[in-house]
Amino acid sequence: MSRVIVKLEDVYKVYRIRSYEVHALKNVNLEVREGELLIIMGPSGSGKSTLLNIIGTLDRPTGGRVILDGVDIMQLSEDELSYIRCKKVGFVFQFFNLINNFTALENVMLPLVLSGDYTLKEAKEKAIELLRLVGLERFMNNRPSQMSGGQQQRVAIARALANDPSIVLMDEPTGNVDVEAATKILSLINWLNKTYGHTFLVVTHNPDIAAIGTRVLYIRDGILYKEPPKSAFSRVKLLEESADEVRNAYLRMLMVELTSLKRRVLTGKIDYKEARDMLKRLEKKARDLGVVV
Amino acid sequence: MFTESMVKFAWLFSARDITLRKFRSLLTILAISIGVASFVSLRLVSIGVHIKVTEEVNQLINADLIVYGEGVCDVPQFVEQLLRAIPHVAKTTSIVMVRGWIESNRGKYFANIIGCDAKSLKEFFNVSLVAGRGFKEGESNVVIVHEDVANSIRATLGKNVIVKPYVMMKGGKGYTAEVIGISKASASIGGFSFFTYCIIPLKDAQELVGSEGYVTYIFIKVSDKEFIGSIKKDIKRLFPKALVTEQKEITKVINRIVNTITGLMVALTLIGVVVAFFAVANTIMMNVREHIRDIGILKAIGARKSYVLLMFLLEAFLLSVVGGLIGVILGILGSYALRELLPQIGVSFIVPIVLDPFTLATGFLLSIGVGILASLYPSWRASLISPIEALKYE
Repeated sequence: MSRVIVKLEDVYKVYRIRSYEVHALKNVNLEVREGELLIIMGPSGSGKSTLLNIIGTLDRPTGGRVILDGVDIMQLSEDELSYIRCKKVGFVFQFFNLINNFTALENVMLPLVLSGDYTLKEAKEKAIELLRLVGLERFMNNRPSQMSGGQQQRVAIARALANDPSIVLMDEPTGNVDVEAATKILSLINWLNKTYGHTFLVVTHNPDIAAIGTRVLYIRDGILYKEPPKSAFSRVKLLEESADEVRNAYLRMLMVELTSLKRRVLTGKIDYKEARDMLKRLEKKARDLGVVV
Repeated sequence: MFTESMVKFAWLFSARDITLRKFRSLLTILAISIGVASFVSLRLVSIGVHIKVTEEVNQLINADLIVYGEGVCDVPQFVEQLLRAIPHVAKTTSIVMVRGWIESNRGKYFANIIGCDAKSLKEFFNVSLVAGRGFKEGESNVVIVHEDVANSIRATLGKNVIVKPYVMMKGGKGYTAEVIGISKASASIGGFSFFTYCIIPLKDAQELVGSEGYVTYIFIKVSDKEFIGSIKKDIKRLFPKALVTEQKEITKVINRIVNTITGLMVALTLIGVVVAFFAVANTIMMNVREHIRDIGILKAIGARKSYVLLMFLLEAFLLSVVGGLIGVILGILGSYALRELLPQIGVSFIVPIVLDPFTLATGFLLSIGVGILASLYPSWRASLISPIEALKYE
């Protein structure tokens, strides 16, 4: 059995927004082992980003325990967490998040420099190889704004791998690129996992990504499931409940338009023909809403 | 705390920021440099004034030591003979000096009334005459008038004027004298001369203030400057009640007055420095705002709080170094321009410009200090931004 990289024990997260609370994570238990490519699927607002941020030590849970590569991160200071993020975690975000003041090469060098373990020359040497790994060594002197979304995302992957982290965390890595670039990125992830044993945790709502995972979990309303839960229908129902309200809003908008039209006719701002056309349109809208005209 | 490569990267980040936002950086640098320039130029000019005034006083009163009493005119004249007997004393002279004014039929003007004998007129007062002549031994009822005074009361050569001291013999009507010489104007600012004067023969002056046999000052020239201290001690021993001043102490007193005026002007230039402070603070604040996402990324990939702080402080440092350098150069040029302007506001002399290294360094350090101070708060705020919030920021 391979080594446990991430272990979450009863992790709980509550956001307090003014007077009400949002339970983003509810007693999540999770183990990620070395060499896994774990996919966590969930719609937006399901708590998947919160989960990723907590594993990546960007956020602290309200309760429970997080153990990252054998270290209990609950007790660590801010600077110690910075060190963990630098050496043990690699991040890939939906919006690439490269630093535009730096070239592709410098972006990949950044985590190496921040680790304090490399001279600039060594960092540069290693970063060039990392860019070669993702097939972008030709673009190393380009700034992010001079690259396509897919290229930027591959630079971000190279950056995430720079310090040879225990785990690479990805938040919708293909969420902002076209299909072709997405295929490239996914095959890159797959290849890095299969061939070199890099551990990945990918959160997404894109079912295509699930295909490359060694394991897939589902998250809804802060709870992890092994099978996809069937809760999508409750949302449709919610819409039916508010149907009356929507219809009333439409009617009130019609009233405002009518008032405006009347005023314009009375003040001579609109000619007769135009006003009549407008009135006809409004009548049709009213009929559609079931009002007897 | 930071490795060399970390600092280099922070440096790179700041330098790119400045080159990517040229116009804004330029405006900030301008604000800093104008603040520094106004400070540097005014200080250079006031140093010039200081030098000029010292020069002027030294030229006018050419004595190494001055002996005087507590009153206006209470030093017995025979003391001069005794002082001359002290070793290393080269020359002495007795001087009467009282505050007073000169009157003509065209008005009156305040002046120091100086009484001295014909010989010491040359030896102790470096009076350069623009017209007329000095007085001779035994001559009476003659006066040498300072150019400013002469112009103001329209006293020309050969004309009679009345010299009146504030403290006068009872029933005195003043001293009527013929203008025989007009001396060159000395340093003045805004029409205020530090030293307007008229010179009359010593005997006449003593009569005028009603104290024959007494003088105000005895001026001493020494044979060698290094004996000034010991001669001063000797005088103190011989005449415990006498007050003894070295010439440089007099210039010190006059310069204190000059410094008050110029100090006020320099203080005004600090307004420019305050403006520079806000300009830098504003630039760094805008920078932080633009880089919120970058701060999030940096923190997510392992940058410490202190590193984010370093990045933004470095940028302010860079701006203020460039602004400071430009400011110092502009300040030097400005001081020359200011010198050309000064005669129009009533400064009667050409101010010498000396590139005082202390002033230049102060101007430069001022800009760096202002830059760092102004960016401290916005940079510190930047370092506290939570990475999650920062990454959500659009």
